[in-house]
Amino acid sequence: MRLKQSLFRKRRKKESLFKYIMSVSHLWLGLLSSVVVFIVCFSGAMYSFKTQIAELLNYEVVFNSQETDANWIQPDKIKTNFLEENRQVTTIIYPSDFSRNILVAYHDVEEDYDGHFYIHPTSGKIIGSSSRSIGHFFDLMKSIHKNLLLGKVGNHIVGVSILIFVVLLVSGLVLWFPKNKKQWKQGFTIKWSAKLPRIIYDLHNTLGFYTFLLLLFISITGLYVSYAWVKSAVVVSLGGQPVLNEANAEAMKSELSNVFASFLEESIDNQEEKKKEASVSLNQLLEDSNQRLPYKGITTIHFPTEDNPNYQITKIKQESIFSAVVPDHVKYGKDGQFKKLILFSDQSIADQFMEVSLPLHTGEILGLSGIILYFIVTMIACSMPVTGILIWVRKL
Amino acid sequence: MKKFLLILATVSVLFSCGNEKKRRGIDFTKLKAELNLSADQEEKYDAIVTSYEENRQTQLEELKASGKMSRKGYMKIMKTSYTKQEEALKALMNEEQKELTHEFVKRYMPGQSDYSDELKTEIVQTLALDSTQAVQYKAVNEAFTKAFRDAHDHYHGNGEAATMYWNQFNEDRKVALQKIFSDDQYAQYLELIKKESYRGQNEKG
Repeated sequence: MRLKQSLFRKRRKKESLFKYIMSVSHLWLGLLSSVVVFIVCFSGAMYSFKTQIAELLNYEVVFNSQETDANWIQPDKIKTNFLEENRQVTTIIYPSDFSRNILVAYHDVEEDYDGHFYIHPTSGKIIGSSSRSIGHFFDLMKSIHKNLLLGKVGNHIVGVSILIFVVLLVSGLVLWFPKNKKQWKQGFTIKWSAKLPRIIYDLHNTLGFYTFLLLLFISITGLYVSYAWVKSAVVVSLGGQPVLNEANAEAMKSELSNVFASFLEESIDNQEEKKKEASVSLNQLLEDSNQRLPYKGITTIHFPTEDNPNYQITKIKQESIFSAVVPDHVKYGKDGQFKKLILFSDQSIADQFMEVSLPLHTGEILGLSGIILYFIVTMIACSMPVTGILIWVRKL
Repeated sequence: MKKFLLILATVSVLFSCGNEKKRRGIDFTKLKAELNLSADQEEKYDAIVTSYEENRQTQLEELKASGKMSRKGYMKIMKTSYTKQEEALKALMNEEQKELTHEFVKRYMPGQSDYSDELKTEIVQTLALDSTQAVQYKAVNEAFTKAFRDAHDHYHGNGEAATMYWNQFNEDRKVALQKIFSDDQYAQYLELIKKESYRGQNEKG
């Protein structure tokens, strides 16, 4: 009976209709989505440290514990060393400093398999490969986070629950909004000296307020991945191209034809590039790319492949703990001729958003500091259904 | 209140016990139904399918455990394994069954959005493309693949949109090829691609 009264409570005296609707919908929607929100937030928080845990498990190969001088081993030397063992280098990743080893991906020509080794940053000595992993655990967390292990149906359950969560965040903010000076103070602090019910209320109310913006952002970037219409709405609002559908097919035809034409131009250029046979100094390419991108960062050298007959050097800035993890690229032909400099900052906002939508959702955009921040915020989101239900149960 | 908590608990158990759908792959049970196998063939067919399925699982588990799971790595395992499996199955089949198996594997090969390499080779040969045309034909196909792949961020998870992008870029491909081929060659091309008219129509996004 009390449950029914609580769920269908009457409007209180002096309570505005707007606040009454917000309050009741916050309760109903909160109860409806609580389990899914808890599971999705928890699994997301668990998944966030995947890279760092994998690196810690392979600490002795990923991190450099040996003595180093101030000179990096040159890429030409790495290529020669690997070729002596019949291994064709496909990618070299130079870390931003000597605390880590260099990662080299290769194709074994004799055995026909792809592999990788970490090598010492100055001597080039092979340290080993990262063989320890708890990939199964993280795969499970990722699947739970995306679809609760329920396939397509799960995708929709998660999507709808996160949509509800967005509404809850907004209605929560409305309910948090203080009426007077005393409530303003209450809304910003947790009174740890108070009794447990009050602490629980403060944890829900105050932490909800502080994490509102970031949780809203994480939810929207998550919905961006789940729903085409959210993606379309976000991309269009940033000045980009909408997702193709029956209604806009005619209008988008010429735009997509232009996209095709630019790829065709690149493909024709690539066919010419494939014919070229020239020995290229990787050392010079690396030096040139460092001049064009003069900052400290993680540098990846991509070797030409069947699909892409160009050398590409990608650099990600690593100058401060809050610098955004965004890539800049320099392209060179098979003969080492400079072709193109692609700066992240030169792309349209819509393209930038599409390129970094996942790291924006995971916090990786700000590196480790971002991941830690997102982890804390997501764990707070995890606590919201729990503290919310405890507040409601006490009122029954 | 107890009832509410019971519902919550039930929902939680339901969620945690659900099985994730299998990854995309070739449905050999469906193929089996089309093949009209004898009892002896069926036994051998099942044994081969099970053996390769287990082998693929082991390879994928190893790839996952290495922490280097990537689309490229996944596709390489799947394509190599399915190609070898097709050969193993064909060894116990008659000509008609071999043909059916080949077409089925070609059609449902994971990651095969564009026309098969087999059809592309046939086009080059049947149309008797000269070396310049062959290079241009390859470039146009590469442009198609890259344009379709590049649009993935737009159609990800939306099969209907993926099909629309495929059709649009395929139209652009036709326009580009019309400029490279003679009228006769282009007419032949349109005829040949009908063999794989199912491409792009059931994209999963």
